[in-house]
Amino acid sequence: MPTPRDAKRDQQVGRPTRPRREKWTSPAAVGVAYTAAQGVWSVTSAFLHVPQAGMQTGVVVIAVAGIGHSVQTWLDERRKRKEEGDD
Amino acid sequence: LKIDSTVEPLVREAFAGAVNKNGKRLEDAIAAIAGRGDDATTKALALALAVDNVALTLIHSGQRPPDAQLEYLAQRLAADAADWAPDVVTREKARSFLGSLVDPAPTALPWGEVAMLAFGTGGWLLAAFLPDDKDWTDFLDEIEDALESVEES
Repeated sequence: MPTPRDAKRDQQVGRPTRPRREKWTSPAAVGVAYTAAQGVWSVTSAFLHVPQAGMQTGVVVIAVAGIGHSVQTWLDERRKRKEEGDD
Repeated sequence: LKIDSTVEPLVREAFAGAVNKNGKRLEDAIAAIAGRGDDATTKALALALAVDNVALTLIHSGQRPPDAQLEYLAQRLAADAADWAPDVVTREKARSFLGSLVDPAPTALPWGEVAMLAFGTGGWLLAAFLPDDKDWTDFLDEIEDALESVEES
């Protein structure tokens, strides 16, 4: 089984966006990735509570109502808890 | 999957926060996503979860990781997250999250926790299994291209 290692993090600030390419060019893994990609909708559907019928070939067509505000509120409350913990 | 070009850089920045073990950068990136509203947040989380799922599968050569491997990964992920989100990415939550990635089932987690786990786990998966000559952004690019190729084919 694969084992993780401490990644090279100091240089890894990340590109701001990905380069546009004609198509994917890693043939050794493309079959595996393609198969995996076909199955992701059941994952996103389950986590986001969006019926798969609400997706069209993976494009989420139903925005989850209130999710942005909910995430923001959770972040604010977490920040408060951390600050209170620091006091 | 058509990846929204306005959301993708925000997703990449959130992954970068986890890759760099920078909890504030991760939080700020998630807050920036949430600040864009429900549509952008839904798209960003859907993309992050898709990347997580494909990365986990690719790392294990297309096979579902056995439960013992998921336990091991959760332990290592939680140890990594001790630097950037120890209150959210615990061993138990990491195990539950990884399990839901491979055996999809509805979760009852708050959206904020889903976001932290999705971006945090994704950043770790993208960076922790690379050969020396690869950057985590290369891996992310490959996965995103694969996701888009599903629609194109």
